[in-house]
Amino acid sequence: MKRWNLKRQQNHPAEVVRETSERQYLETLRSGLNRLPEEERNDLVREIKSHIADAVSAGVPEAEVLQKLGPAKRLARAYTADALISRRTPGGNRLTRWFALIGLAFTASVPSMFIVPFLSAVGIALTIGGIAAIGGSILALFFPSLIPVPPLTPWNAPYLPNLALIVMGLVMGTGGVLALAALRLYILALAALVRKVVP
Amino acid sequence: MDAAGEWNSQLRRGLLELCILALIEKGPIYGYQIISRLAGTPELAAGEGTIYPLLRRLRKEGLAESYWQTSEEGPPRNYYSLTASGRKALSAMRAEWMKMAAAVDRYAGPGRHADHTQDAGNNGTEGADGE
Repeated sequence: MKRWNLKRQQNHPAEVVRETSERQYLETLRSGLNRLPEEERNDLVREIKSHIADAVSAGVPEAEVLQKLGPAKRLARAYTADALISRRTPGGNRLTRWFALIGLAFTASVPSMFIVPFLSAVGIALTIGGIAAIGGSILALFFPSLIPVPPLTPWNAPYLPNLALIVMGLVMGTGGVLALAALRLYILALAALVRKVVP
Repeated sequence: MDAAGEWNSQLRRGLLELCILALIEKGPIYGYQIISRLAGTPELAAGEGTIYPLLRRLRKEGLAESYWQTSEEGPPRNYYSLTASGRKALSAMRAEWMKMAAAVDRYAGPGRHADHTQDAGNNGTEGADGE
């Protein structure tokens, strides 16, 4: 461990570049693996790091090592795609498999008919509404005559209504983004469920 | 991708898994070693970007297990070995592959054609069947 660190510090400018591009690669990989549990993520990044060190000490230029690994994002996707697609074939005979399919129709398809349209409508409406509220109230600050903002009755401070609108817009936008995120999670969970029954 | 290329990549996926299991069987081995070994076999076209995710999947499926060990030259390495069920899967896959390769070779091997000349030994029974 120590010897390796020393060796790295001796060779200067090239080694510095190497450090940064390696670190960048590993960081991109780590963020691409964000759907995996923390511990597993650490393991995978550590393994690739170890691979790079091994290849470099075997005399392969770092640029070539990284190129052979392929883009960090693609590597991350290869890891996570394998995680979603479990190769386990559904057990049982044809009849139980049919029952599993019918069960899936009731547990997944019927609720999806309501959940998916609801979440997408709410998500899109709130996101657009939030952006419009924020944008409108900021524009109203500069063009008060063009976009009249009604005063907030109990207090008569200037800009307070605009501020209130911006806060409202932020809340709406956050709600919208959360709804869309929930939709994404729901669809991912659904995909995993479907793959379990239909490999 | 043409039909043969598509087919080839499908075929390779399964065979690569068999080869990697066989490499891991021979004892604790780490990722870079597996890749260097396979580099001598371009037919498998097994790049780093394929092998590491595959190793993860083998671990997930309980066919392989791994442990970290410090190394003299660099950061710790992740050594793989087969689990009991990995050993079982490997011998089943190996047997399956041998049978399959022999069967395919009978029809599509060099100089063979899918006609009845190969079945000369069976002619007697065939005659009995088709009366």
